[in-house]
Amino acid sequence: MLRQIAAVTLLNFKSLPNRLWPSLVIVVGMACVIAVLISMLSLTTGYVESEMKAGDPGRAIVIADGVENENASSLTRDQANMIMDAPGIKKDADGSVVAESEVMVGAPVTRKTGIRTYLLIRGFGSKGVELRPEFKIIAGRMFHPGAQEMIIGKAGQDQFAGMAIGDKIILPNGQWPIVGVFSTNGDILEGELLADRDTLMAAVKRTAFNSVLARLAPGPGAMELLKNALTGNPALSVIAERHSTYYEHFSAPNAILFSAVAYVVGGIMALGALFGALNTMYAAVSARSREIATLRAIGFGALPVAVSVVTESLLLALSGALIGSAIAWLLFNGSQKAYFNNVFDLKVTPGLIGLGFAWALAVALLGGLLPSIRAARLPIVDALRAT
Amino acid sequence: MKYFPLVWAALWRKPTRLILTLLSVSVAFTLFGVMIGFNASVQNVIALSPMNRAGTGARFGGPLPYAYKDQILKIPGVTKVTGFAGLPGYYRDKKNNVPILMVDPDAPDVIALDFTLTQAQWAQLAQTRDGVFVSQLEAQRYGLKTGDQFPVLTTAVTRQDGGKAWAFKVLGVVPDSTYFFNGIIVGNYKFLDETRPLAQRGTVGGYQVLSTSEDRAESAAKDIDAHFANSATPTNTMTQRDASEAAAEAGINVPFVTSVVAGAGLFMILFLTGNGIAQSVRERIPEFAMLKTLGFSDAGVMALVFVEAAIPCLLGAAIGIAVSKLFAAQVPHLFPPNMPTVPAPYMSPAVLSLAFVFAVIVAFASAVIPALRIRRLDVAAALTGR
Amino acid sequence: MASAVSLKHVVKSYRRGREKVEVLHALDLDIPEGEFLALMGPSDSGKTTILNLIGGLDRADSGEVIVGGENLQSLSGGQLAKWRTRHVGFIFQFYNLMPMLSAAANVELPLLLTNLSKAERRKHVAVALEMVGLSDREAHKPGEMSGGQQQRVGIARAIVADPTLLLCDEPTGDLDRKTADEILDLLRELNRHHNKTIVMVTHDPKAADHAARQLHFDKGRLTEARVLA
Repeated sequence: MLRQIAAVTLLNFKSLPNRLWPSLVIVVGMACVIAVLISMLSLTTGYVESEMKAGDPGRAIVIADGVENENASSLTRDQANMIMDAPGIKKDADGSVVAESEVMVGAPVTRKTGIRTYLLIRGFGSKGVELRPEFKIIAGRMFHPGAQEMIIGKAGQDQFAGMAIGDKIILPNGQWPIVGVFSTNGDILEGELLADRDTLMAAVKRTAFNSVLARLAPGPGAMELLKNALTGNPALSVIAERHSTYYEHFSAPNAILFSAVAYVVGGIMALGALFGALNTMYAAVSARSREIATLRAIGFGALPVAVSVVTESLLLALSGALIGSAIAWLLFNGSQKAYFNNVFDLKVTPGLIGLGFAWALAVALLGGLLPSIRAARLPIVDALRAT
Repeated sequence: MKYFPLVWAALWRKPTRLILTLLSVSVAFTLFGVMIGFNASVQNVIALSPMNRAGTGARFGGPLPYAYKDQILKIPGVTKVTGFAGLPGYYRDKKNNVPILMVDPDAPDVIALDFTLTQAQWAQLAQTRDGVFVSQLEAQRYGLKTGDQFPVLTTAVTRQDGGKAWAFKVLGVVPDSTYFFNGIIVGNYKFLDETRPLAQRGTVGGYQVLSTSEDRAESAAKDIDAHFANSATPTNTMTQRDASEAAAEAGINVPFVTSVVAGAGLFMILFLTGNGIAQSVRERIPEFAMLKTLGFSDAGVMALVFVEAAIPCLLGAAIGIAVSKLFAAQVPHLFPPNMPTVPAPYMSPAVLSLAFVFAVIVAFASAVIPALRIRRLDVAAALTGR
Repeated sequence: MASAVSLKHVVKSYRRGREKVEVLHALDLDIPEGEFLALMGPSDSGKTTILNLIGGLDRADSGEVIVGGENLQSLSGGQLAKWRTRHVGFIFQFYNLMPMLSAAANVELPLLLTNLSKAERRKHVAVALEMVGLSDREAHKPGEMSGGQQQRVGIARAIVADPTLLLCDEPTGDLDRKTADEILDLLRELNRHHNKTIVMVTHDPKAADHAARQLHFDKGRLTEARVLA
């Protein structure tokens, strides 16, 4: 049986040059669909990856209840202190909690493209760096505590104008020079400026914090302990989550939107490609009806003939998917994109390519199925007689 | 046209091929319509925004003093100023964040440009402190109509009396505006200010500032920021153009993405239709030769081929655009209230014309090589089977 | 009697692969009006080429091709096309009908190129179909007809615009003896009673016997002439 299938499929391909252009319809169609699908999904993948990187599951974030994100959250000093007293937070050798409140201030900035927008300045407390093992200075130096200095993330430096070491950020109380560049593994923090929290708050006359970040105590159950303590406190109205969960929730709506659009667009195109594939395979069967009939007359079974048709469709589609993936990868992998305050790279992952291949296979199967049935059911005698 | 039966008969030679081609073209044009329509709607939002307007906010976040209003009015070129503040609330379920904009009822004109309220309705809002106007989408989402009570809750304390509940009354349902394409609710700023905690009173979230012209708006923006630069709350004023450009760039590059996707779809089916025509013509070479013997000129035979290509393209384009119109109408209803959303595709006459043009281009491009081959047809050879 | 067709010193060659094959060597041929001429000879001897030249489908390399007083060499492609509709009717071995059109629609095809109204076209079609004896089959498609009937449709199409010249390329090549005879009788009737000049290429001696004059072609040269009463 397998030998028959192989033989017929081989014959198919020998005659393929006669059907070159119609076969290219499938290849081009698939290439277009997969290229578009993967390119659009690479946005989601890159976005989600950068968001997820920022979320260390061993780190907890506490923000006010009922707000959409850290930016909109507001916590008083008293509230922050209550939060940092809660159980489940790791303590340093000297007994201090590895936790701090942080503040976020928006500041106007201009992108390198000339567009005016806002970026975030985050105020680090004394534990800011300790809370983030992924943090490292890659140029210049860290700002001195209490000093009017800032450092910029690598991605932020790439995206925004005036972010070189030595450039100054203007706040109400004067100029703040940039003294260093940091990296945090490519996560979204790299799109922000960092400064000393208390100095920053004084400069913009802020009295409330945005959030509290804490390193969870080792061992299971620390997160639940912290969460229960905080939600059980009637004086507090906060949400406590792992940092990873926070970013999941935060990025989910956007990720879903991107993915939904990608799949809708990809789906529509796949449908178009499907009709194209059907057309090509019907024509292929029709063009070779005499050949097929001859094979059947010789003794080849109907099933091998049918399978060979589907196989041809699959192989053509796969070559298209390969080309499409290559196009998507070449054009978009690693290209930087800024989505509002989030700066990240588009990622064409092996997973995406696999998805593309799966789609191509699905379309090819559907596109080859009906024609293959027609090939199998071809009335042998009529086909042999036809001119 | 008297040649129509000829073309029609040629089309239906292989019914399967015709139907599949038609379906494929329809799908490609559905995509085209959705993409180009979406781009048109985004451009529309930008285009309809008044360019002689600017938005003033606190430079480093936070509220602005209400007192700034009179000072801004004194800046040269400024004609009107509207203050506004947001109320972060939800309706019944915490997930139902309602977008309520509290607008200064004494001078709503600058913001009014983004809304669909009539003068009379703004006046009504000024007179009814606890009144709100609800846009169509929001009304549908929450089942609201004129006269209904509309209770909104906030998670933090937002009232001087320590409460979190706001009892609004729906004064009317207004059509959705292009700018707030996901729905909006507008209320009375004075009501917010006299009810909120004392410490927060006398502040706004920002100002919308109208100037005499776009250039004036730009200079006024700089003047405003310069005026407040050394004050307790410095400002950052962005012109409408700046804001539109930032929004366009900060998201996805819509014109680029939509064009590339639409283009990919068209390219895909171009291959299909081109191939279909080429095949169809190849099969009928003796027929074309015969037509030439009857006296059909080269041009005549080529015209037949083009018309044959054009019919499925135009028909498919029409079907595809019709489907995309249906889809466009459904888009606002596809998004749950708290999702980031996109404006519905705007199927303007420009979009429709563009679809028509591309349908013709695809038809032409698919038919051109086969048609040229027919032109160079060696009739004698074709008839003798050479 | 005036000449319907006059070929003078016609040379024609065409390419087969890399070779250039000269098919007609300075050919002279004169066909009087109203003649029924059979051209015979082995395959590829050039018979069909002569037909194509007379019908304006092909151009001679040199020499004159004068049909109905018109020098075809001086006409442009577009002019030739117009001329063809009015003056020539072709009849083919494999009929070359359009399979999706009815008999009537097939016959109507040449008239689409004229300025006749729909009603006038229908009238001419009806007349043509009657002349070939197929009035009752006008709505049928070629697939529903026998070989002989299809050829009649082909003939009806060839005469519907009332040309004076009919060019037939192996018109009975695909038919059985009896049907072939019927077709040839029809052609003879068109020649005798409607004064159509007919040039018929054939390899079948029995078919050629229906013609008034026979010419043999071999290697592009007129080699034998036989005239029947």
